[in-house]
Amino acid sequence: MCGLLEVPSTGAAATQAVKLSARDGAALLAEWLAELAYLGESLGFVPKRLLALDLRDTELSAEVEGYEGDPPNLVKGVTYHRLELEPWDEGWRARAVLDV
Amino acid sequence: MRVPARVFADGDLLGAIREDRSLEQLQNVACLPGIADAALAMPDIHQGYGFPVGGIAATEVGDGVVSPGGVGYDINCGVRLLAAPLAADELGPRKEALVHEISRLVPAGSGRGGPHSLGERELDRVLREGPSAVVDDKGIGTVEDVELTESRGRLEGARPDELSQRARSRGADQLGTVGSGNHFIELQAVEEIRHEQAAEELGLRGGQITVLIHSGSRGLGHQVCTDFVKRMDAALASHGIALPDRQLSCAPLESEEGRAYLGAMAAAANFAWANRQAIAHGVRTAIAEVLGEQAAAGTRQVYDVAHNVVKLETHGGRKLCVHRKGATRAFPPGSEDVPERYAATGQPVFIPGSMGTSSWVLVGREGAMERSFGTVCHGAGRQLSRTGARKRVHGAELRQELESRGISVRSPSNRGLAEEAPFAYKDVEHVVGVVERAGLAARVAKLRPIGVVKG
Repeated sequence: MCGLLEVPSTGAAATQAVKLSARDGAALLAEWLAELAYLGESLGFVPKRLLALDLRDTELSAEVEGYEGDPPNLVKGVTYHRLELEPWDEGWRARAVLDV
Repeated sequence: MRVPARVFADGDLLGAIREDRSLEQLQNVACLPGIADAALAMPDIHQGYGFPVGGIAATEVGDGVVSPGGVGYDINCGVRLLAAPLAADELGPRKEALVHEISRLVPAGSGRGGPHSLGERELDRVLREGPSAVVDDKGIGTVEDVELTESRGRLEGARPDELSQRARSRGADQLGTVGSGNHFIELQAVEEIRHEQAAEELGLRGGQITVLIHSGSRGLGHQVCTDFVKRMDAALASHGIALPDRQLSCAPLESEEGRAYLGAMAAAANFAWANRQAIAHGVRTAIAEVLGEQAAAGTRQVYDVAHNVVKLETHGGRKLCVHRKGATRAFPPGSEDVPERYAATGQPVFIPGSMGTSSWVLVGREGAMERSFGTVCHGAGRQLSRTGARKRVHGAELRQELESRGISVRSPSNRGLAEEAPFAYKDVEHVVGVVERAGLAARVAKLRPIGVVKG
């Protein structure tokens, strides 16, 4: 579907199912990024590609393909500081501040 | 703004403070429901997530709020000082071996697991009881260590059941680890005594070896903050609260979310104190290995302070919820909750400088109770971003420069080392000078770094 991280795969291939909900789109974006960070830091899963995505206003479910290993740059968390998601041109514009 | 925003600084520091968004953030803090008197900032204030680092906000118990952002992600990040029974000039070539042994015994770096993996029940004990649990159950540290820890290492009302499974799993194998970023274990020599009597009462003398430990609640505390920012953000409308920054998300103290956060925060704070207890144990073990059992047995704890925490306190007859984010409690002589040993001296406070510069030991003064809810700064205060620091110096270059000045360095990452370069921080002498001139605390001793294990 689409790439998440462009890194060479160094470990065994794996997939993870993700299901999230949040107050609004911006918070859902923060939760999505936080989930990917958690999978990397705590479960040793490096996300590479999105295989499937069902995205609604305040919830999403996804299947993520990746590999077992340590992520290249550790993200400790995703803050809500200056969090934004808004329509922009024909797409979207977003800002999320990460704690690294 | 519901109350004024007030900054403790001189003209030069204010110039540096104006370079980032910290003053704007302080104004946002002044908008919190139930905030009392003023949103305060210490001279080491710098931009944070929502709340500035170096900020203090006290809210009225009754109609005020509690905000996880006012504590920060690293709940009970704090500092512990140990004093060893020998002088730095007795170390000789053993200094290098000591720094090496500390780095071997105490894991440092992001996401690193530690030597004390905890089962569910053990973790629950630590979350409820703090360092007493590891003293009793694992023989890590002493009862005296616990007595000489802020709040005796335990916030009441801890509710481990309010922690998510994710927070628990992040913390279960991290006890006894330093972490990363600006965390460290620093070997020092007492370079100067400024207040003879207070130094004697704290057990410090010129030339003595000290060890300063800077760490917190690791992934566990981080997850607690993440979980509750999300939970309170989702409930803001139900409490009729609107905020200029979502990271300030908060809930009334008496609400379900407010009580739950206070319980989870207390549990994470207790974990952090137990973490520093386990790190101190690693340091004492290293001292035993390199300098002998007698030296290790004589290495006593001076005190341990939190600088990211929220506490229910009484100030001027009012019950307040005091948020300290990158700010240290500094109670004067005669205060409740200061160990009896220091009753006449005042509560010890430790202000680390940047890597390679000196740190200060101070004691709290009455001025802090009058002007800052019993609070002082927590460090020198960052003035250059980590990216900015990396652009100016390479880690390897900095390592050489520190070593050439007699400071032995162990760091898992040259990149991380560069990010903590001394020029990235304000001058600690200047910051501490402002705190002292404002009557908040008094300087006791200056500690010069001779070795550092960087997180």
